[in-house]
Amino acid sequence: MSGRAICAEGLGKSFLMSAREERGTLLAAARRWVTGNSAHRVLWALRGVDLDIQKGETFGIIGPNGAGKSTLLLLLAGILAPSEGRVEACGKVDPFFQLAAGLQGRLSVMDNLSLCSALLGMSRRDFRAKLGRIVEFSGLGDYLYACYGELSTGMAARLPFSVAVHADLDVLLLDEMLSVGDRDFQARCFKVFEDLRAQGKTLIIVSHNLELIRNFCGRALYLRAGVPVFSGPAAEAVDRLIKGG
Amino acid sequence: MSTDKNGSFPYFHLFWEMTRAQIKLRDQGTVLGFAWTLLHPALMFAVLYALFIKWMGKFVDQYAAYLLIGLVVWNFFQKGTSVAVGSLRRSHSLIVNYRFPREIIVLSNVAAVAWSSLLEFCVLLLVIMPMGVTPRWSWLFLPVPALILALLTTGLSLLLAVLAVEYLDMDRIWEVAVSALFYLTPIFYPLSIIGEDKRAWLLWNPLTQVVMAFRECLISGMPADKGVLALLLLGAGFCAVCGVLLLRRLEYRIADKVLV
Repeated sequence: MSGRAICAEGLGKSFLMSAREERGTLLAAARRWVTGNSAHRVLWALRGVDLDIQKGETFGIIGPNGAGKSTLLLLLAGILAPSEGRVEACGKVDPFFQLAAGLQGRLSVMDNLSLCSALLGMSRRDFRAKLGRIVEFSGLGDYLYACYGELSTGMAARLPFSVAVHADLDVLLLDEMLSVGDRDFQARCFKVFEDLRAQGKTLIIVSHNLELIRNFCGRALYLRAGVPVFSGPAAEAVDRLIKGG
Repeated sequence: MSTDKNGSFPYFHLFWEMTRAQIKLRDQGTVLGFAWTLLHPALMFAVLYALFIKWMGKFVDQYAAYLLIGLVVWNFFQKGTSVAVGSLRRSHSLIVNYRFPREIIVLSNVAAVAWSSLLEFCVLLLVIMPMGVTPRWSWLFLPVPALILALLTTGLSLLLAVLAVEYLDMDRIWEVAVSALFYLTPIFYPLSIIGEDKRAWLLWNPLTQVVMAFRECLISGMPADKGVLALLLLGAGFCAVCGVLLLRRLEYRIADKVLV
């Protein structure tokens, strides 16, 4: 499989941050409109990012906290719009952030499996066809009718993750998701990612686990304070981050 | 709108699941379950009927049925818009974690209320028959005012949900507005007791027309004026389309707002 999976040019994202304590009410907006004083300042979370990621590539994004890694993933996922530059993704892209978002602790594991599949864009027919594999992968077969909220944190994290790896995504954006579950479950995740890579799926991994980035990714982008410091071989990006260069 | 490989609406599964989850969460774990849904209009009916039967009964035949129909229609509008107004803000974690048309959040909220209202309406039909209201051919026209009500509520809910992301006090503002609207809609009183100049103003309220259309279908046995219904349908459809378009246009602004 060849061709471009993701392309970004001069990508930047700014947010309006509150500059003083003020509630976002209609009254406050009216006051701002009358006085002409803005209670906001512009904060650039990311600037000047160029990316050219090929189909089937495993790409890492590293950097300290506040470097703009998650913002970059949100832009690549199409959840945020860039403030400058452009980004293009080919195929079905979905982020793996807090996949448990939107799941309901008071509903059963089965209900949540169905809800999660819908959130990841699976049709009902597709979900039914893959349900057996999803349940087997998650290891939640004995808990299908238990309340999702009753599961331990590790077990609960398996549910959305198991649905996501079966959701037939073309580009997978992983934000610290490889820290999910116990050692056995992590080993299964790595196996799945190897399989996905073999199928030509594109993986983009954000992680503070530098060994993972060094061993698993071909190339990586090193970000600091929202600005790209280095983009190239993963091992070199990791070395630069460790040296603080 | 694109379709999936099976030719069906690609987000129908999501819409259905989100609606189902809300219905289950609302009724689950309560002793009375669905009965809670009926309790509110039943209580409102009991209070208003006890207070106003002597006065309004002089002006309206079958006041009990008249009042019940008004309350069920009002209940859907009030609950639908009130639940939907904060729906986008409440779903911030969904918005920043999944990519899907954001209107589904609002639509599923309204649909969950619509489901309860449909059940309320079925109970209403059973209850008004012993009150002297007999089934008529005009009941076949009920889907028209129901569609107008659904479109109007959905459109307004979409607009309110977008505004509520921008302004945190929007749900409070709507709470006040909807209370005022209750008295500006002939739910428990007939229009005939209002002075002519004020009546003309109340007739501009689309909910007045919708409530009247329901009553005409169910009690009077004659469908409402076709011209008025067509105009209402057009207006309510326009409102719903505007709501969807506004939400799509501001989709990224909403994501920025809920993220920061």
